Amino acid sequence: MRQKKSFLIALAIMLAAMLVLQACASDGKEGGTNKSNQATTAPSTEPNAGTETSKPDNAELKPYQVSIVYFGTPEADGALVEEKLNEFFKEKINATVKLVPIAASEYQNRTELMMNTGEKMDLVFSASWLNYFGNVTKGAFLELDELLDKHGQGIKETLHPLYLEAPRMKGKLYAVPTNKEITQGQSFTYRKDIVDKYDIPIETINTWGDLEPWYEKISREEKGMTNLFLAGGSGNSGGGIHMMYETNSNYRPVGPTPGKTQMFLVDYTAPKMEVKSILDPELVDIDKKEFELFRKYYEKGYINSDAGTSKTSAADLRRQGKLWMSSGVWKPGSDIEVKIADNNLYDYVSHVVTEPIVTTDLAAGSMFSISRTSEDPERAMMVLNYLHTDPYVVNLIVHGIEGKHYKKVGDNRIEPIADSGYGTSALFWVIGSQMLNYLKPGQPDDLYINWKKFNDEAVRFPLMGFVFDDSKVKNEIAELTAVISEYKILATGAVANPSKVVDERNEKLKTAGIEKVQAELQAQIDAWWADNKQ
Amino acid sequence: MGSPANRRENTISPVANMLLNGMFLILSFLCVIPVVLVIIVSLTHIDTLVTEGYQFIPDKLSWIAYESLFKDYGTIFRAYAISIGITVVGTIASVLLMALYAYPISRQDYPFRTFFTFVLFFTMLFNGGVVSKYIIFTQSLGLLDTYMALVLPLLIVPFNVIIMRTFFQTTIHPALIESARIDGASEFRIFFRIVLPLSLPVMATMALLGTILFWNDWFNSLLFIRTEDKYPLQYLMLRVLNDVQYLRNNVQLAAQNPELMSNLPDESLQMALAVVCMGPILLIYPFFQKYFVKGLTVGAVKG
Amino acid sequence: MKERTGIAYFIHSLWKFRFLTIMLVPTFIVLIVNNYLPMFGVFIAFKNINYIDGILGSPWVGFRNFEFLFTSGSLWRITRNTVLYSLTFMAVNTVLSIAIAVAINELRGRLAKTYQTFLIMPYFLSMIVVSYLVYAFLNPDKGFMNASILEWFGLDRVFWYSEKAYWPYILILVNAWKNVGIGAVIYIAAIAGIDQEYYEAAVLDGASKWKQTLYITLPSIQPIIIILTILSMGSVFNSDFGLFYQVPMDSGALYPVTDTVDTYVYRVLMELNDIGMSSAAALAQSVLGFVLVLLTNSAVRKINPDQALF
Repeated sequence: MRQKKSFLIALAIMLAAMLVLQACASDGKEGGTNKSNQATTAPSTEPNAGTETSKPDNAELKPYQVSIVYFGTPEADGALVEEKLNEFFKEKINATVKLVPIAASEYQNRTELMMNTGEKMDLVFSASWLNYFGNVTKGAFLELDELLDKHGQGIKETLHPLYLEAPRMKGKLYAVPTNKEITQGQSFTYRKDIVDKYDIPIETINTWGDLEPWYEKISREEKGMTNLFLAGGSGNSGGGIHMMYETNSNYRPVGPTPGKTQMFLVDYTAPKMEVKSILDPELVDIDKKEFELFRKYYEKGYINSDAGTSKTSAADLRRQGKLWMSSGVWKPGSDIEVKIADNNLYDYVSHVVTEPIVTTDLAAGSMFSISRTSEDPERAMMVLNYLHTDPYVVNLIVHGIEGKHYKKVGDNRIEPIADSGYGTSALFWVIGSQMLNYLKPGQPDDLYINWKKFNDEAVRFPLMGFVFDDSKVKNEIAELTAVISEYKILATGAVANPSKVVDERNEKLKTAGIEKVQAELQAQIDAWWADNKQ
Repeated sequence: MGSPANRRENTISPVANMLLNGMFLILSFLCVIPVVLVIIVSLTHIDTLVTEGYQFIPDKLSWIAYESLFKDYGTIFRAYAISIGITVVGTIASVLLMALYAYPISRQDYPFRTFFTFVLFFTMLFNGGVVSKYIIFTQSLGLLDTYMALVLPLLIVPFNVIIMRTFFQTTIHPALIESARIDGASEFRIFFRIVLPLSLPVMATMALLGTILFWNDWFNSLLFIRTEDKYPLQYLMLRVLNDVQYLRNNVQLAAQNPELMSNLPDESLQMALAVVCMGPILLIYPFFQKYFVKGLTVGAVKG
Repeated sequence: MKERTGIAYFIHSLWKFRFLTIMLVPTFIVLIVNNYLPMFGVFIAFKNINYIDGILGSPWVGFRNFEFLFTSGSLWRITRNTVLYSLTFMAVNTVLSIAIAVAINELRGRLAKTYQTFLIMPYFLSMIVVSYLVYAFLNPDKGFMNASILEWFGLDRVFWYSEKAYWPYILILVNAWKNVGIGAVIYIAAIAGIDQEYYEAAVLDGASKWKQTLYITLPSIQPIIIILTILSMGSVFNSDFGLFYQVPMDSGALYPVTDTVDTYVYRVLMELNDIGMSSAAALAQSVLGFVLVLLTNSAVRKINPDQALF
């Protein structure tokens, strides 16, 4: 009896203690971010205080650290580059920067967790293929229209106007695209020495099926060579699905892509924008035909046997000289870009198989947003403006420090220093304006002029600027994602009887509510069309 | 108390003994064979790998995977150092904390025993789940990307505390404690001078269990570790299993020898890393086995 | 002893045993922080989280996050997988562990210790290492299964990581491989603790080895079997994340047979980026596990009150 009583009292005390602890914990939350913030700012500002004492016109600006979270592999000399950037920004706008590169394979998971937990970030790299619009809906980013007018004049002057149409949600801008080529044509890219050796008529190869005789030949003649490398590990789109519809029809994806899988498409040449889902017989036929083809390639060993689970990037294999072709996207100078990325080991040639069109997703393919958790969005926008207008800053982040990481060999031309500790991560398409990047060996002098021309001539996708709002079908999309994650590896050929599996998959997609999403998408497109095209 | 004669009568026949021995030989063999395969693959030459796949008796051997692995000693040694650090600190803290909790609740005269046992026991029945834990750790406690986040979740294993409690209850006689108290020893003195020395087997077991737990943990790294410099060994292995490119890049930079790299098969590199990682545990555990078996069984059998 | 009121007694004992209490306070705090605080986090399961309002401020949505589990049929699949695997593992591991323990106990000579050393080795390897070991066998091109064993028998290659039919067996095998040895150790000790007189009496009665095992050994270790079973009932809704996520290399085609509550929660968290939905799944898991322990325990208590845990 006695024991029971003391137990109850103790229980009450414990509960009280827990409530107090919990309160402390939630208090600590608000204070916590600030504290860690100050802690990180302090050490990086100190060393600079002594070096830069010139009084700039930014006297009224308090010191602030702008964190830049971007898509790139961390490199050995990142800290040195950061130091140089700090010298620059300290003088200009009394700011320092913190470079936060996150490797490709983890970028989305990690940044979204940071958003979920409300970590402090300023500039965040985002893109349509990184669930940008979904994150906008959840309120991850700040509206930029006003900030852009105030502190982003340089951006507005240099950026193609089409760019600022795309990353809008309900008319409001939430990101600033990187200034580069606005669209890309889809292409097959080959190693030039192989093409020459076997005299492959790449101009006539327009679909995956056309490649069969050459896959067969190369498999026979070149031992150890992989013909088609697919990485269908979870989180990836699942390999061969890329270009499947584009090479077989005029259908182009639009709307949500649960699990990074294209599920809704429209014929972009048709006068009326009618949404078809992958349950549509025409698209089912394409699915089956292509999946059967991939299955055949897989069984014959043209595709890497671990295609179903691999998460390795094809570039590695290419660099080892074990891959002779791949599908990709093309823009002027892209073959040389691949060559540079592969340490100049091989030359590449491409054949473009689809007409380049500007879709919302492509125009929003590489951007910077300002996080809702930024404590000084104005300063973040100032930094972003420099990334778009100042060659020194852009090249510092992309190529590193002159003399240490690259040699300057011309007015606008550099030669990277091998193994210098910086400059191997491909940041040119990520940071600010690529048009300000120094040219690397092999890149033609008129590269950026060609790009401007390419951008001006690009065909506009009829639904460019349309963005799907998924709030009404959130549950359906979650279910579609759950279903599709099981079937993504269809596109790698690693599954037997693909046609049968496609039917099974489609049945499940139907149960998961694909038709409801399709109807919602159609309704939103019709409404958008009525507003924007008349 | 069986007399020798009796025991001999009650043993199995020589034939059955041989059969059983045969069976256990096979079982033992099955237990080590995967490890042997991995070791051999890590030593197989690329030519054999390409033509014959993984074999127990490869035609050509090569040390290249280990050579490259140790050229880039930075990555691996750092991961090693982190894993060792976490394991040592975590294990010591864990054993001490668990003993300090187990002892009071083992004392029959301690009035809050039931309450604190319940507090402990309840955590075995119900938990908040990984999402909630992630949020509390990163939001309220600010443990993101800290080593603390790797240690804290594994410090207290409720089941082990119960084993310890049972051990204290059964091996340390209350009269012993009572007489020490009459001699004027404080509770802490009793604990550290009498209870702990008498409980070495269970402490050793817990230390070994803790070592395995901390050394083999990767899930907490997956959740909480962000900076590549802070990867413990197991998490490094996880990265490399999914993406051998990650290690290759590092190795490549260190080796600065493209030719060497093209002869270095991905599989050998992965398997060599696995060997390097499991090495220490495999070498150490037989020495602790005695304590381990003893301590584990005393607690569990009588619990 | 003088009769005291509850509070006075409480304060008195608080003071009298203050040193013992101080001893367990650090650990108590660790338990609160590590185990009890996250229990409060389960409220996330009832919220629709958005970044603007944050976790505390986001609107309550009742059980809407749970709907998704039911309508998609995922709940059924992951619960079925989790529970069936847990039960199978329990059964297989217990039977094999006991069999090994009984057999090793009968061995003559010093080899028993050596066998034990080998048998518990897998227990010391992390699941990551185990995934490497499994991969060495199942790699579609070069794995030992495809490159050697199946070839010897003249069979076609099997693409292990996309053929779901094999995985239930693979998982059971891997789990048994890793855990049976250590389970056996506990039973070996339990058997060693049985009073030899029982056996002596049995020998006098002319009982065979088999009879002795059946009528002496097994009944004697029955309490331990029951305790271990109740304890593992609590984790019937939990699965070894490493076994189900890393060993099958998170291969999509295998989800129908490898997806458990834990891998599902993790994937929903990572892929859908929806902490509300993943919390909902995790909460369902905790609650079901909790209920199951209570049920098991009360069932045991009905049969034999002495063997119940509480």
